[in-house]
Amino acid sequence: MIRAFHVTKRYGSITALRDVNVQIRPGEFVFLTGASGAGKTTFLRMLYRGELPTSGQLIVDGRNVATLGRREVPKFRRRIGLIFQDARLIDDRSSLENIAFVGRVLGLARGESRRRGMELLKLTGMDHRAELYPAQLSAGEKQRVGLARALMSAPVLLLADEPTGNLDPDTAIEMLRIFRAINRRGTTVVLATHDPDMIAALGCRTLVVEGGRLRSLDRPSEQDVS
Amino acid sequence: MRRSARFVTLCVEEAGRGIWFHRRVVAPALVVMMVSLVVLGAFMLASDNLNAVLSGWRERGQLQVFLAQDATDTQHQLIVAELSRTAAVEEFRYIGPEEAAALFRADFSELGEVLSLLEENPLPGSFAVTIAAPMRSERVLQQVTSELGELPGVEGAQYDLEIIGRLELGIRALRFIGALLGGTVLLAAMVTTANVIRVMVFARRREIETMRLVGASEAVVVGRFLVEGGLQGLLAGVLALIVLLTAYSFGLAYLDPDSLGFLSILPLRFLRPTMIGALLLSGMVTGLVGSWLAFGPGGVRFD
Repeated sequence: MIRAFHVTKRYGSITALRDVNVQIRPGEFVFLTGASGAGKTTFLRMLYRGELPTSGQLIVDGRNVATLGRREVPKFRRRIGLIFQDARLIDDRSSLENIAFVGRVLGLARGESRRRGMELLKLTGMDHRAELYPAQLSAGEKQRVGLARALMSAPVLLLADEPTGNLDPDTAIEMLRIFRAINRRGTTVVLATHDPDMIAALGCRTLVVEGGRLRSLDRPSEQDVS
Repeated sequence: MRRSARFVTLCVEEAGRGIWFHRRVVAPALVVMMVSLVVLGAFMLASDNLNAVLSGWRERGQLQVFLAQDATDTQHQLIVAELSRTAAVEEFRYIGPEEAAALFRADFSELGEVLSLLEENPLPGSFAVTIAAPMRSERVLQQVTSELGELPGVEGAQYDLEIIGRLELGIRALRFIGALLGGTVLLAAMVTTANVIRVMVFARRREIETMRLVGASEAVVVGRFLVEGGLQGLLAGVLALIVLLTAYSFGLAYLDPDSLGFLSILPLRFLRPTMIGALLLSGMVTGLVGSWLAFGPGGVRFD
């Protein structure tokens, strides 16, 4: 699903990521961890072509992100589901409208978009909040709506940047359970977090970013990632 | 529904949503566009009505033969004989000085009082001559006017086309001023729309970025703002028409015809459907171009 060959990302004289070599197989659940500013978000941004590598090759879903044409980027992103720490919901739309909008972008009719949006809200346990606006939702509820939105395009890859960062432990565990369920359906999940408990609880492969370098730990202990 | 139709529907819905949710930001651009379209529409209305008068006069094919104050009865009879003999003349009617004064009073009620102040009626007797329909060309009118004007006892002869010519010149000037003024205000409206769209884009950058991250193409993101500009223009056009129609109806209902003077003889009518279409189209194009300017050179960039 993801293959990085000697990927380096520089911002002027600062090197955010250095000579990254990694492979993530389809259907895998991978944690991405590291201290704040270590380069986790930079790596994730490159995966959905929010940033371009300075050098090296990055292949995502069979496409070299560096050579994607301007018009190809939207289609490429429709294969990837994105979840952010702050959910990034559109304020003037209800939960359902936020999700249905993705369906409309994909070319679905309004009714079909709403029907599928409602199904996804049920999946994330948010169907009872379908008509509420982001300002009326708690942080955890926003994240669930964000997750439902990310699933609208039936993505092959789910990228989550600190999705539980603003959540209380119980809600975080519930979110993690939903991520795991989605992964079991075959979707590749890359979840950035600096919560060692969460990583230890699942015991999945973990990519640790340190000083711009990335190393892979197969079944890390809490000590490995703390 | 086909994919392209869904795309257009999505852009229109998004644009409508944008206008509604940001109505306070949109309102100034809408007002500026509406005012410019009202100005343009007012000039179109005036020019169209004057044109209607002109075509009415053209179809009438009339000329006036004014008698000299000292014209004798013999000269009068000679003129009548000449008019009866001229093949191009369909009919003629003598208007005595008293009737001329009465007509003047009826047409210009305020100026009519001036006549009462004078010791003598200064208006001469005249003949209102109608040229036969098939011969109503400028050449025939000129020739007949010239021949009648040289008869003894005739002070002068004048045909409507002279007045029409002068009026046409006036209407052309009116159109020019209208186009210049309307064009200037529309240009200002375009710039205002462009700035409003820019402000809206900057205010919604996060939303736009989110739209792009979920896979919205640039066509959807930019198209929605272009449609938004066009819709704003269309809305401004509709509002301008409402203002014009209200002013027109109010004017017709409440203005005293006597106080209109010369205007009271005009067969007033509101803008024709083609003009209404042109006005709405002007609004849409203004909004669309204004919106395009927001994304044009020096405009908003997403990458």
